[in-house]
Amino acid sequence: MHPLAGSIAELVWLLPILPLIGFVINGAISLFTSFHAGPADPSAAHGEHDVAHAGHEAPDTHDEHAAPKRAPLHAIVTIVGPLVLLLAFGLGVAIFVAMPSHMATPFVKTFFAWMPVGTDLPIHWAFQVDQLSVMMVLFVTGVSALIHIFSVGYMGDDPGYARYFAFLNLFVAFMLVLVLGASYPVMFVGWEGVGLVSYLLIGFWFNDKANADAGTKAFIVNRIGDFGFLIAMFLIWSNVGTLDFSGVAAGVGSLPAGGPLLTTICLFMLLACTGKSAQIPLYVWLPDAMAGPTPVSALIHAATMVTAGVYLVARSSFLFSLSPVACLTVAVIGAVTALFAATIGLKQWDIKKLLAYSTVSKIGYMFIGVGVGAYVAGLFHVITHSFFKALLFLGAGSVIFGMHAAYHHTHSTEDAQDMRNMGGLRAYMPLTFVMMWIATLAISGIPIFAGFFSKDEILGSVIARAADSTLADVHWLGIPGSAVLYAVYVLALAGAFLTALYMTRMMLYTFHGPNRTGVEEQAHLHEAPPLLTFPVVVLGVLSVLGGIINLPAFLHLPAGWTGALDQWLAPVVGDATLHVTHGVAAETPHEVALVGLAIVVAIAGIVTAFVKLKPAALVPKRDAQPATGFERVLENKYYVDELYDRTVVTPVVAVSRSFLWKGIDAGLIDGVLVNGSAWFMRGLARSGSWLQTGQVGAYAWAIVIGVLAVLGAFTLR
Amino acid sequence: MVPEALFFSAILFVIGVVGVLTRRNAIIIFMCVELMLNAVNLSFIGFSRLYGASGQVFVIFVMSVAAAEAAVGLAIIIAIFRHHETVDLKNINLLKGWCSNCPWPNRVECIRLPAPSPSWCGCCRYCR
Repeated sequence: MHPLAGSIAELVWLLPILPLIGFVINGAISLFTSFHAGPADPSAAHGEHDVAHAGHEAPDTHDEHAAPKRAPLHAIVTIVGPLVLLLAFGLGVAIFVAMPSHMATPFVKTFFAWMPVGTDLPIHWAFQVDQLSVMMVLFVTGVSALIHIFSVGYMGDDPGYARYFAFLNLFVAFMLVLVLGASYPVMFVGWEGVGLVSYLLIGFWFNDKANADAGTKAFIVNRIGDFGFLIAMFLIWSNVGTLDFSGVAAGVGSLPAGGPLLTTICLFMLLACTGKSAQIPLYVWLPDAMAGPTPVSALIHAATMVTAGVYLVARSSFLFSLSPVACLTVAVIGAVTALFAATIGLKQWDIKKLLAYSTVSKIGYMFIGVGVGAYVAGLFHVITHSFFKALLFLGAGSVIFGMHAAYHHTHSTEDAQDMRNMGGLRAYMPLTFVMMWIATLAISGIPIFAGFFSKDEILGSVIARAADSTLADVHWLGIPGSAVLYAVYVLALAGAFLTALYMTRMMLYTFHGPNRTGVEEQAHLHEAPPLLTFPVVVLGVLSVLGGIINLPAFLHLPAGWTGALDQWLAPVVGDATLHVTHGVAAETPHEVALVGLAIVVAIAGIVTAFVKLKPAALVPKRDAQPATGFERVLENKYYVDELYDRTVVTPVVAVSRSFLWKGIDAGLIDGVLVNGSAWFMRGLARSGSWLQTGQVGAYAWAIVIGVLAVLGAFTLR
Repeated sequence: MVPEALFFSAILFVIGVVGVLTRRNAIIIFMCVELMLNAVNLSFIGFSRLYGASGQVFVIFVMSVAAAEAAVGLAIIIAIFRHHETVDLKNINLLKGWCSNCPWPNRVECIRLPAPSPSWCGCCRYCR
């Protein structure tokens, strides 16, 4: 009898159903009330302004400053959308409260046989309630609820309001399936579902082809990763014989530890993670995903969905911990991505693009964490990152909202997202200014703030693993594991410096210095309404206090204050962590010195930004000179998109066109098989038709000879 | 009595078969078919001496069906004559599809063949 049996955890099925109900209601309202007039989004400025200008020249038309006509049933959407999330969050909290402090085995609730394939593969629709999934449920529903509230203010005037909330609810439903699934196939449903909703929301303003293309790009790049997930699942099933998490965890011990099979499984799984979590080489979709509404970027492409890869690695810790080579690969990919994306972030002018590269970089840190077997540290960073990155995106949303409103008033077609058009916003948006600085300090790793604790736990774990672990004992591409880990540490530290640098750069150019928006526009710049600032403030508080859930031991706080998350997640990932560290709890050498070094690096980044960058010298976007030299390379993101286009997209299209289409499809299938068989039969019939002379006499001869033959055969028998 | 009847029946049948196989005039062939039917009738009558009256009943049936068949067959032959202006079966070869010696094997419309042939080419079913 499981301790959770009969408790409120039995209602776990309600968690995804609640947002699904919201999706059904909002989707129905969207379908039945749609009178879509085109994009009216603050960040999709241009198309709408063109319309506004056209109206301005003809004075008889409507007043474009009047509040837009709202969709019917707007109020119902406003209530249902966030309410289902609040209910789900409440249910998550109730399950969390009902859980005993130390629960050794997960509570698996099986609902029905989903895909019983013979007797070998009985796939059940089952949800798993354990420490990890409850943790994910709490922060997914909590952050989602805040972002839903923000969306009410941000998207209120959009004609697709109901559709937007339908998609947002659907996303949370799939995300909860992802984190609650008790087996890989159930998780895969959520995995695919969030990818689908991500596609729908990136292309939310699909009237602009660039947005629709960005959605398609995200979808296709994610498919490449999903291929890895499927292959990994097939390999697990054919070698372990089950796909349930608990079954695989129990059965994986029979496979040779560190062998090529486990490494192959883990590397295919890593491919899936690089797709969903935007790591090298599949990160290219995430910056383009900023084409969606800003709250979507905050929810899906910063706080929750993109951390699914980290969750998958942590959930599969029983696999990864047995394959040190795969672990090192995860860590190296994370470190390289962290530094690579940070350098691109240095020269981005679009505030959302900058935050997107920052996200890619930060997920790299999480990969380092889960890669080196510090699963708790990685997940800790997932949580704190979801707080301060959601805060950054919502703050950026407030800024864009204000910028767009100002430009809207003066009928300007300037770019509301370009930092060169901002500057000095602290005078106009004091609350947003304070909150954004909190998030910046948190992401840079300044002490007290949440990001400091999680980032330093990751960095400390890398050093600890380099000193003594199974990872340090193996060779990775011929390099000793410990050397690889020290390199990872250096890369991560360099990335931390750049993080502090580019985040401070964003703050300086956005909020400090003189205002570059325009004299006329300055009169219309003001703080965002309370509906927008409330979630921002809540996330700001969490960004400050978030570190409390897992304070490091070196602070020598009273028992119960330190390592709360460590103890909480110990039943799920504890064994795997111990396996990596040779069965003893990891001790980080010179921990205080390392932490001091990390703080110095972060402060150095901030100071460098203040010393080097001169926001006063910046000119608005329309007057800006094109960048030169290496800056241009950075601004163009190392030309990776162009490289992929040349090396992958163009050859694939060319081969598809000339070989698959013209050769295989039109040539072989249509030509030889379809038309060819018809031609063959026609030729056969032609040659056969020589027998048909049409002369009745000839037929009569044939009949007589046939009759004689038959009669003769009977007679002579 | 029976062997003689069967002997004459066989002779009559062979005459009919040879007529069908060798003649080209549709009416002659038709008459030869009637000869074959009557040959069969003769053997039925002969066998009825051995096996009772059912053979004679068969003959009545055969004669009535043959009468109907003669009506239909002659009507068809008249229709063919009206269409082709001949009852020579050498020229009635629509069943074959394209004629082997047709110079225009794939055309849609038929043409009237040049002299001395009196008919349409009969290459296709669109002949009018």
